[in-house]
Amino acid sequence: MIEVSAILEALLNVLTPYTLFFLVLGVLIGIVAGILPGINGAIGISLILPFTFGMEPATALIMMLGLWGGQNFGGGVTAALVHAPGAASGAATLFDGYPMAQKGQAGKALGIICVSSSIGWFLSTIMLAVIAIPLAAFALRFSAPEYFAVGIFGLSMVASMATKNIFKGAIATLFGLAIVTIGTDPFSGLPRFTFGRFELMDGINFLVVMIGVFAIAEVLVQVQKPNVQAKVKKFSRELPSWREIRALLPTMFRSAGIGMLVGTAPGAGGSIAAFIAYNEAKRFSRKPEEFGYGSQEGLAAPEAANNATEGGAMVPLLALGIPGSGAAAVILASMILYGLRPGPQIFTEQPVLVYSLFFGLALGAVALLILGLLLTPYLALVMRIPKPYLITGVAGIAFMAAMAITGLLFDVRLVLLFGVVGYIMRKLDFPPAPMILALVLGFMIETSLRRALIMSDGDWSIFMTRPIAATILAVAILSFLYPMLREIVGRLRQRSAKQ
Amino acid sequence: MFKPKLLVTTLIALPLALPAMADGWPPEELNLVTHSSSGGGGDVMMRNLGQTMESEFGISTVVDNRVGGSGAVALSWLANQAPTDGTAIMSVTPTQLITPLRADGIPGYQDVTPIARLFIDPSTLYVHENSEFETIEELLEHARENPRSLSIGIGSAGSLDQLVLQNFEAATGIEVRTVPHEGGGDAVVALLGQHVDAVVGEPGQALTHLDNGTLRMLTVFQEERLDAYPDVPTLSEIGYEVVSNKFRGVFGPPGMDPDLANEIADKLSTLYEAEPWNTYWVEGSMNPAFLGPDDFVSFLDGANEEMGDFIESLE
Amino acid sequence: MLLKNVISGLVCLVLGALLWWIAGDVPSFTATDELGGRFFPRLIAAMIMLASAGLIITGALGIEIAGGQVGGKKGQAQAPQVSKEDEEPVETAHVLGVPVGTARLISFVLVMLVYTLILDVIGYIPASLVTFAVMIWIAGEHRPVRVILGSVVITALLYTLFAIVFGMNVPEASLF
Repeated sequence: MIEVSAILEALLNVLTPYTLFFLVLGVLIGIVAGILPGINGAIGISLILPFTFGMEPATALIMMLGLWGGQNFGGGVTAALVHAPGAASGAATLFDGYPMAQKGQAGKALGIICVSSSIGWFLSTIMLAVIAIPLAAFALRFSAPEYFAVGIFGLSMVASMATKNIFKGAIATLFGLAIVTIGTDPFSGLPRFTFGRFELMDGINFLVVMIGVFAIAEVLVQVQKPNVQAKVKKFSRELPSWREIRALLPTMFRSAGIGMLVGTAPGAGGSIAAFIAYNEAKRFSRKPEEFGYGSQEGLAAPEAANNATEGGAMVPLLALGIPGSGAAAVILASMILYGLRPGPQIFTEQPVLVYSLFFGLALGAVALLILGLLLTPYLALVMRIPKPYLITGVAGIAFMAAMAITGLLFDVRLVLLFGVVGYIMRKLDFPPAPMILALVLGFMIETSLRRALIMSDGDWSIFMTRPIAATILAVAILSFLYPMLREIVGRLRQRSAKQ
Repeated sequence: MFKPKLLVTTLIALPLALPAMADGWPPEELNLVTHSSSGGGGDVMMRNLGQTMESEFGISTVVDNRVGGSGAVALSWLANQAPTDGTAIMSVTPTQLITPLRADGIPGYQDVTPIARLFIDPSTLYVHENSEFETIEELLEHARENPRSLSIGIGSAGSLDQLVLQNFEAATGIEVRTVPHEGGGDAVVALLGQHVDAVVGEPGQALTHLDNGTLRMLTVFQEERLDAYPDVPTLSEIGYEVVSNKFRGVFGPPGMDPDLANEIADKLSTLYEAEPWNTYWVEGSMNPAFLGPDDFVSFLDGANEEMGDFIESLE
Repeated sequence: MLLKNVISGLVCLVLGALLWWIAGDVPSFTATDELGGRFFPRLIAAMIMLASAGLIITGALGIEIAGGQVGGKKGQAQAPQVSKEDEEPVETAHVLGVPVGTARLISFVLVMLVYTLILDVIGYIPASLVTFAVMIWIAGEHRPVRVILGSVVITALLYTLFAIVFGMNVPEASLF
């Protein structure tokens, strides 16, 4: 069924200097959009939209896809350098990227982010090209009970997040879930916990919380520390070595698979994929105790996964005409503007275009690899900025990001509030990471729980009778208990060894 | 070649921009405001309109996404800060009626200048191709015999889809389970996976699937049949009056000169066949339903009353 | 007894109870589902109260139960490489009776608070110029030219990238 002539024609289409130029430009704009918190792929793509009229549809779409992929990489850069995610998908990158950069290995951190982003992107493109149609069919089997199970599975990883006190971890998680319930109740359409404020009607954006709890709290921690005039920290712009990258390849491959699968489900997204990949990397790692303190695996996993969600999201976009995210929605809208109508028939009616997109995506990954590695030494220079300027700049970016995300001054104040809350949490050893995880997953958990119960007319057994949901839930329960079981087994072993 | 033009257009979009040219509408720089974020419904509409106006009138346009508060941010901006000289117009959907009804202190359509209604998004009901229901009568019969056995997906709760579904249930005397989703696209996915029995929504969100037969449209909640689906009966043809008023149009700031509002409405009414505006509404399966400023206000009065009753019924 | 844990546990307990109470205003069923908007928040509130109780009790007993190191050797997860902190000198100076570090922290929060309040009064650029200059000064750079230059560069960079290149709306002055 694969048409060789169409593939060749597509390849010739893509391999023109004209298309390649716009692809590289797209990736570059994407990197900038990703680095700036609050500017997401959808905004970036809308921005270039007026300039793409008059281009060949394939060229225009390839440029947009390049931008989307570049944005996923840029988000991780900000997370690693200044403790604020540049994009939602960079949320999990922060946990190991920032400690690594603080250890003076900024170059290495960015290098790993870049390589794993490219590899995740590339692998997901191959998977997209080979199994898009069966994957789309698989994605359709996911409904509310399955999304609920995925949400619980994602949440189960709080059990393995290192916390000084298990109750504090639980409380942080629960408050994250509580914050999600603010806003318009998705099932009645009525406001819930909004206290009559229209600013809360859309709920609290998780990036607002995250920027506060991580970036502003870090600013506060830094300003309190003595010796603010300190000599510039030593840092290295050295890139990761080939050996290090090779050791990370299994993590990247696995994470790309996770990202692809999660991306295919229209209800999930890059940040959820990154968290799940992070947790799986920790579970498979030989050195899980390094996670959270600058583990290379902990950095590679979320980045490979979030870039792989792009290939995943292309599945419902192309095969079903359903956008799974804001960026996908803009791309879908522009496809319609060009008179293209995505759907199962696009593979047979427009094979050249589809193959062109695949080649464009693959080359975009290569472009990201080259651009990213070229830019890394310059991006790492952020570490050389003296502290007074750096922390002021980070605070400025944090507030600007809040304005960009929702356009509400209210949210600028929320960022500050969450910054203070985050500072207090850190001082009292309440871990912020589980709270962010809960914020990312909470909405999906509540809505899919309620939707599943409408579908079953109030019968809770729906979670047991659907094979996919039941399997994921079983795995979730196991992975929730796994750390505790392992702990108990370990202690028993120690005891028997002593005897 | 990329940034200079961008810089210029954005600078022009700044509220500091010079007053518009005196000789008629549209001005050389037009600010198209929308409450949706990039890729959302209003955003797509304004980007298409902007593109159309640029090629028709040789002006430059900027889409200004004032997102937040379910449309409250954009409405407040329009009511308080927008220039009244016709250099800024805003997209409207039923959201601009619903949000002021839900929270106090948000300017409603009474506080700004409704300029024109442009389209009606037809509400329809469709099922999966494997569904046992070939016609709307079969579905109704089944639903009457088995109350609460059918689940019907809608885009989101508290929306016009839910209102239509409620009216549909009341008019036909059936009881179904309503399954809200995170937008119309999600509802269509649920139907494609056969997790719900039917979906009430506009055909635009399921166009490819309706055309290639994966989904089957059973009825239209409109006074007349759709041109694109001439075989699908309206609900009134089988004896029930349920009509949806999901409209799209534009608002201007308060205190706008009525002559200017009329002029804008007239200009917009001439655009339906222009590129790419014509593909926008055809692809979205919307119906051109032009109303000028005065008719639009009386239309909104009726729609607002209906929405108000509906929202009260939710509480 | 771990006082910090007991107190924070009490605060969380109160917050959990508060959530339980205000969730009472949410209808317990909706037109579309019987679980309603109240179930989930109430469930969370109950679990918050349980976890807080656990924190209070263990805190009173002086126990910390560390959570979740998958496969890790216990204790090893406590940051192996934070030795850099040791090199930093200890500050002993006080300002108005509070340690200098805390004074910087408090003034930073206050300056940022003022910033969020004046943004829509005097507009983004003037507010940022002033605030950033003050923040740089508090953070320890006292050379006037550099303070001003730093503030101008940060403001210009942010404004160019966000407002001009990416077309975001920034607060405008309402004063003038």
